[in-house]
Order: sequence, then C-alpha cells, then structure tokens
Amino acid sequence: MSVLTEMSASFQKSVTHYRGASGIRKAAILLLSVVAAMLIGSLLILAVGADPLEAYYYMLLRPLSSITSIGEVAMYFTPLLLVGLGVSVTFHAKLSNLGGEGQMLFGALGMTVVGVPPVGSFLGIWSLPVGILLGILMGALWAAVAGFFRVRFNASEIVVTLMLNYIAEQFISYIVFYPLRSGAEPQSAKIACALPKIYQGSRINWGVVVALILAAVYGVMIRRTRFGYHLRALGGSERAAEYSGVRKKRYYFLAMLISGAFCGLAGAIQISGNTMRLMEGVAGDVGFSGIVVAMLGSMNPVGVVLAALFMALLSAGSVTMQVKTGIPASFTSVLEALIVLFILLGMAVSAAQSKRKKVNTAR
Amino acid sequence: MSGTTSFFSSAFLAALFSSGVRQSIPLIYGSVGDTVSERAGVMGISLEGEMLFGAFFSYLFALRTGSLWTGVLMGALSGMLSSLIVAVWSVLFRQDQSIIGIMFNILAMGFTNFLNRAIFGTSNANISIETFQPITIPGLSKIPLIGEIFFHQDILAYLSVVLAAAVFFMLRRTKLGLQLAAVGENPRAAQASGIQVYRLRILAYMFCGFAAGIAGASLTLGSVGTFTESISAGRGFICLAIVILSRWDPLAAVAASFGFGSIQALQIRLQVQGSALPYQVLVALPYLITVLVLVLAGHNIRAPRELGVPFEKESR
Amino acid sequence: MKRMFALALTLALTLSLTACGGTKTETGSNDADPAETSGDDRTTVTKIAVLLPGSITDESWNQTAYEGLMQIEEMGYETAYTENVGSNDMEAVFRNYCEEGYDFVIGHGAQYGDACCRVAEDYPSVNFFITGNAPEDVAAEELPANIMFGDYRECEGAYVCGVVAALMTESGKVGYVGGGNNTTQQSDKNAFIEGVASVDPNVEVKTVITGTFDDSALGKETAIAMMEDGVDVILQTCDHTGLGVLEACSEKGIYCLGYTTDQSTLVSDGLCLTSMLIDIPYMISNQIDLIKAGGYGGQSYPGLHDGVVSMAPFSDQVPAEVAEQVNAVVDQIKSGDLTITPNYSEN
Repeated sequence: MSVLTEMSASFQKSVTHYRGASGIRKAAILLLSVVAAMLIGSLLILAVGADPLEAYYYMLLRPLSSITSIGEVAMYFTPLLLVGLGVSVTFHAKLSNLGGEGQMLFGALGMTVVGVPPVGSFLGIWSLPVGILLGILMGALWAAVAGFFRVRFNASEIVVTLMLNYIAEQFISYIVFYPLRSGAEPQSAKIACALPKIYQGSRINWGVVVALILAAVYGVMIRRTRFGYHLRALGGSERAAEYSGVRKKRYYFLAMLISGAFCGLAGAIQISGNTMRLMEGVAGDVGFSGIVVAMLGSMNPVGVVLAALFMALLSAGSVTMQVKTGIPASFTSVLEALIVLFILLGMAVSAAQSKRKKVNTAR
Repeated sequence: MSGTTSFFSSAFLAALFSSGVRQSIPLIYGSVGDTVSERAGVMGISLEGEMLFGAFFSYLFALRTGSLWTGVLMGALSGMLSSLIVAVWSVLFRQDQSIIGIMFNILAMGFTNFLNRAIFGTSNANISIETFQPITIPGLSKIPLIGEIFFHQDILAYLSVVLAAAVFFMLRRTKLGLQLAAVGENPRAAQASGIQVYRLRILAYMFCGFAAGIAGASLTLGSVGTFTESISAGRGFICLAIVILSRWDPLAAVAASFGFGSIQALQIRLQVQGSALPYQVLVALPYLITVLVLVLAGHNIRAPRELGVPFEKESR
Repeated sequence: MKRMFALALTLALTLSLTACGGTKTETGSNDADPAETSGDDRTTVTKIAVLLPGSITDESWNQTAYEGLMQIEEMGYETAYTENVGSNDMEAVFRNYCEEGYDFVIGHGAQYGDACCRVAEDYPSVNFFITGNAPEDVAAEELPANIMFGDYRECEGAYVCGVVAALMTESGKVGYVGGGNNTTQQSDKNAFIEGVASVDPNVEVKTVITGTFDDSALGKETAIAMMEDGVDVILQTCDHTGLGVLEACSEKGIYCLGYTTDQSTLVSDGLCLTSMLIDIPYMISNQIDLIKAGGYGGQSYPGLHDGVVSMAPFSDQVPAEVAEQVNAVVDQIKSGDLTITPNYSEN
C-alpha cells in the first residue's frame, strides 16, 4: 500500500506543479498525451484490421482538404467551443456543469420559439438576434435551476444537471410532438431567418466568429476582471476565498448562470446555423464533448479554442474514416475518452519530472 | 377506455408492485454499491458504464459456460475490474470524478458495443439464454398481496436485499464502516488516525463496481436473456439520485429503488390504461421526482462532507 | 486583454479570408468519380451510402437496412453506412458522402428529408433516397429533383398485423408497443388499431410508447404489464426495446408479431404468429433500376403491392382459416380494393 501512497503523492505534487508550469510546457504535455492516446487507439485500429496512419489521416487532415469540408469542421467547432467555454467557467469555481446537453436544448428552444410562425413571420430578420438572445437566456435559466438548488439546498450540481438533461430531453420531445409540431414529422416548422454564411460555397456561418469573439471575452472575464479573479480564488481554496470576502453562493450561482448562457447560445446557433428546425437530438452529445474540450484546453481561452478545433476535426473526420477504413465511427468517442485519460496522466508524469529538475537546481 | 381494470384491485396492485420489485433490482445493486463508495467520498458517475460491462460479460460467460452463476460472477468481476480505472484515476491521480466518470461511460459504451460485434457479429439476439426464474418462498408467499409482490421473485432480488442489509450492518456496526465514514467526512483526520485513505477509497469504489456489475447481470440474466447495446439505458444515473434520496443509507436505498421501480411500472400501466398524459411526461417522471425531492428534503440532506473532493496528502 | 481581442480578430479574419480565397469550383465534389463529372447525367450508380438513425444490431429498422446494404454490396456495388446519425450531424454526414464521391445516398428515415433537400441542391449529380415523406412545408416544386421520397407503406403491414391479432385474440385485448416519436411509428400504431377494428370493433387495443428504442428490459416489463391486463397478442415496432417484448411473450407464452425481419426464430413455440417484413435489398435494387432508367426523383409509396412490404410465413399456431382470411386482406390491399392511408395523428 505504501506504493500507492507514494505513487499518489508524486502525482499530487506533480499536478500542483503542472498548474504552475509554463504555457509551452503545458502545451507539450497535452500534445504528448494526445499522441499517447492515439497510439493506444492505433492498437484498436489494428485490431479491426485497418491501417492507423490512414485512419488518422482521414480523421485529422482530410477534413481540412477543401473549403467545403473546412466549413463542416466549423459546424462542429462552434457549439463545441461555446460549450467548452461554458463548462470552463464552472470548472474555475470547482463546480461541474454536466448539464450542457439540456441547456443547449433550451437554447435551441429559445431560438425556435421566436423563429417559427407566428412570431417568426412577424419579426422577420429580427427573429435571429431576438432568438439568439432568448436562447442564451433560456440556457442560462435552465442552468440557474441547478445553480439555485446548489446554493439554496446544497444539492450536488453534478446530479441535478444530469437529471435536468433527461428532463430537458423529454420536454423537447414533448414540444416537438405537440405544441410546436408542424406537419406529420415530430419537428418544428422552419425558422424564419438563418445565420448568414461567411462564404457561399460552404456551410461556415458567422456563428463561428461569434464563438471566437466570446472566447476572447471569456479570457478577459476570467483573467482581467474582479469576477474572474474571485471565481478562480473560489476554485483555488474555498475557505481562503471566503475569508477574503468572496460571497461563495453568489459566485456559484453566477458561474452556473454564465455557463448555461454559453450552452444556450450553442443551442441557438445549432438551430439557426445547422438544423433550421427544432427536433429531438439537436444537442447531439455536444454537452458532454464540451467537457472534454474544457479539460483538453485546461480552461485557457486559447487552449479551449484549439481543443474545440481538435475535437471538431475528430467529429468531422470520423465519417470519412469509417467510410475509407471500415472502423466504426463510434471509435471516435473511445478515442476521446482515451485522450482525456492520458492528458490527466500526462500532466502528472511530466510535472513530476519538472519537480525533480527544480529540486536539482535548487541544490 | 372502458376501464376494465380497477386501479385498486388487489390483482392490479400485486402485478404493479411485483413489476416494481423486478425493475428495482438493478437499481438496488447500483445504489447500494454507490452508497459505499460515496460514504468514502467517491461518486459513482461511472455506474452506467460498469453496468454495461457487467451486462455484457455476464451474458457472455453465462452463454459460454451454460451457468448463470458463472455469468453473475464474471459480470461482477468485470464491473469491479473496470471500476479500477476510475478508482485509480480519481483517487490516486486525484482528478475530477465527474469528468472521469463521464469519460469512462463513453469508453464503456464504445467498448461493449465493439466487443459485442466482434464476438457475436451483428446479431446476437438469436442467442437467448434461460434467465433466473422466480423462486417462491414457502409460507411467506402465502401472505395476501405482500407474498405475491415480495416473495415470488428471482434469486437476484433476494440477494440484493441481503447485500443491502449486510452493507447496512457494515456501515453502522463495524470498524470498517466507521473508517469509511471518516474517509468520506474528514480524510485528513482519518489519515492522522492511521487509516489508509487511498486504499479504503479504492476498495470502496471497487465494491461499487462489483455491485454495478451484478446490476448489469440482473438486466441480461435476470430479465432479457440477451445483451443489447446500451442496455443500461440511464439506470446508473437513477442510482445516483437514489443514493441522495436515501441519504446514504443502504436500506433506505432499497426502499427508494423500489419506489423508482414502481413509478416505472405505474408509468407503463397508465399508458396501457390509455392515459391522456403525453408519454414524455411519464418517461421524465423519475427524474422530475428526484429533483423535486432534492428540493423538498432541502437542507436535511447532507452528503458526506468530502464527497467528490480528491484527497491531497500533506505535501512538503 | 487587447491581445485576446487581436487574436480572436485575426483568427476570424484568417478564417473569412481563406473562405473567400476559395474558388467556386471547389464547392462540389472535387474528388468525384469520373462518371460523376459528366454533369446532370444521373443514370449511373456505383457507390451507395446509407444513413441510419440507430444501431445495426437492433434486429429491426436499422439492421434490415444494413443487411439489405450488404446484399447490395454482393451485387458488386461499393457501399458504406453510418450508424446513429442524429439531427445535429445529418447534414454533415450527407455532405461527407457526397464529397467522397458517393452517387446514391440513402437517408433511412423521414427525419433526414430536410437536411437532404439542402444537400441535394449543392450536389445535383448525386441521387438521394429518403425513406419517408417529403417535408410538408416545402412546396413540391421547390423539392430538389434528385431526391426520391419513398414512404413505404409500413402501415399496410401493421394493418395486416392488426387483422391477425384480432383474429387470434381470445381475451379480446391486443397490444401495441412503440418506441417513440416519429411518423412511421404513429402510422403503424394507427393502422394496427384500424386493422383490429376491421375484424372486430369490440377488441380493445392497448398501446404503450416506451420512449426508447434501446431499453430491452423496459420492453419486457411493458409486455408483462399488458399481459396482466389481459392482452394476449402484441405487436412491437421498437427495435432493441422490442426484443424485450418478444422475450416476455416467449416466456409467458402469449402471441406476438414481429417487425421488419422474420423474428419467429427469437420466440419459442411458434408464438410469433408472423412478422411484417420490409424488403430493403429489393427496395434499393428497385431504386437503382429507376435511377438507371433516368429522371429519378419524386415521391413513391411502395407497399405490399410492390413487394417492399410483405408478411412472413405464418407460424403453425395460426389456423388455416385465419391464414386464409389474412391472406384475403393482403390480396385486397395488393389489388387496391383496400387502401390504408397513413394516419399520423398522435392518438
């Protein structure tokens, strides 16, 4: 058992040191972890009898080979980035928002309600900004439910957000089945106004620009505002933060609210930039992949952008990979999970070395 | 509807609650396992995935060996071994339990689907195995209503209650129970008093995986007789809710599981009776009730203090 | 702070610049087969792809399509499929196949219609098939010409199942277990009720929508709940969940009806009276013939008459006179004497 203790002790030191490590070093660690996960992934690929190099080419490079396919990557990138940012906000306060899925659905509902007739035909082009704002609001409100329960009743936000996902899913199913149903299929009517495209030959739309700007806003909020400072203080040490006058409950609630707003926006963009109608499954597990994005980007704004890009490539490339190599597309999710596990491992191992080095130089 | 069935006839009630008991079996195993690990401070977000492992391997071994008990054992062991991944990552590497859990679930779903197809091709529904049959407890089963509901169930149902009672006793009356609580409430003090915090947390989590494995086995070997992809269908998350509702008490978890099972059974029967409610409301009912109870019970619910918080040993 | 904004702006600019830098020719299929570049000639089929809403091991809707595709592959076509295509990535998957040079892409479910319309406009040389109706709020003349909407009349099969159920029930109660929310499911349910009523309006139909296609344990409990209520024949149309229904029927010894494949092997003692079959290979090869004939597209309703929908052989539990009666109904539908209109209403 002392082996366990020692192992863990070295890990915990290393993680602490990882947090203090330089950006470049962190990036190197993340990269190495991804590579390690991909190597393990290669074994699985070989087991199916396919060629790993070929598979990874189709997964990661092929999606960048034409403007059209870059546009497809952007379609995945935008919601992943937004949810990743949202989840990051809660991570800073040591909260876990696992309800991105439900919050996206409510954001999508917000967009749809003002986008479809009668409201949509009345608002016309204005339904787009109004819908996006309403989407943000509804996503925030749905997350606020969990935030409120957390601060008022001390109910674990992890469990509540998970439950709220199921409820949101059934609620949306009900909405498209009855009140917003248009025609035979259980789906809403088409929304009045789509997000404008950046370039006509591809599906890429301005949502991606909005998301990138928000990544910058997020960075400023976390690093340069008092709110962000307090949030991080709370994540660092609850008690110390409280001593220095941070109102814990308020910050917990606000963190959930903001997180939900990001996810709600992702849902609104999913409708106005992708499906054009509300139907079941529009969130498409992005709420969960967004957690990976936040992790992979270690909550750093640039990191989250890069992580979202990487995950978007995986999603966009998985279909081509399956077509060309016969590896089931679900392999992508296994790879995602492996990557996260390896990042956690990589962080620790690498920082252990850095620690050793530091000790040596100190001498 | 002509209302041919009275909701209060004893036949209806017996059938309803008997179905409730059957549907609560996986929930009992899952929530009892999770109670132990949560007492020690580790959350079972990954129950869902461990159930899938348990469901697949129990089916595989029961089919190959022809013995249901070998199946159950292998299901439990596979749940336990797979939970080791989560335990190591969240306890030793001290990473966020919710992230590890979610990732593990994704991994488990992908992996069991992958194995299922690799071993059985795209069609294993043909290979159905004889499931555990109900055992009538002599004497007790003669009690009106109660007998029919509780004493005409399969062996896994009886064992689930035995397990819950054993865990109850362990938590309340043994040194191990006290140590577990210490580890979950105040690991620093526990460590100071000489308890191996990591070891205990890992063991507690492995027990959770073991129980979740049996939960999975109860789906394949107790109910359906075959493995179908994503057969756990969200039950792992319901278990998390049950643990909270039962306030980390294994016997209360049995009652809460029975409650959830019965709600599900009632939900189906309401539809059979031609309920006008949209089915979505009925399907969301268990989740709605969970959230509702969390609110109503309010401050009375107190989780182990260090639940979900990785323990960091004093570092110098 | 400034750095952040600058970075975001640069990224945005780079993206939009690269986007504008592209040339129009890059949009379509830039690595398409030579056969495809011949513009509007849509009469060749070499590579076929299918989008599936669920998993290929469900013994049902998705698996039949998959097995159908495999048979088509044996005929010498290159094929591919993607499982679990949800609403957030259906359009991406369609486009992916078009980009990879597939010249016949099938969306196996009416929910794919909308996304397909958007994609089809950008890939005029590719043929598409949607298993279901065209989106109703798109005017017929605005539908891209290269899509065929084939709403195969599964409901005809469900109607016949209703007839079988009504003739075989002794208790006067039959059941239907559905998975969820889509038009095919609803029209199946309504046609089943209609079929039952056509034989005996006094037979009660109990219906349950489980809300999931994956939960076989729930399916089993659902079937048991129905049996307790006196139901003695059950039709299920819910894939994995339905497998649980079949298991319950097999165990408790009541009749059931199979869905999309001949499910009699899954149930003991011939309790699975018959199954409504969907002949996907026939349907696909039929479409290929239509494509080769030229001018592919529009709307079709293949059903019992066209052999796309058919009934599996009766089990030995079905008495000869019942079989005769049922076959008469099948013939009536085939000849057009009896039309079953799909009814998509909720109840």
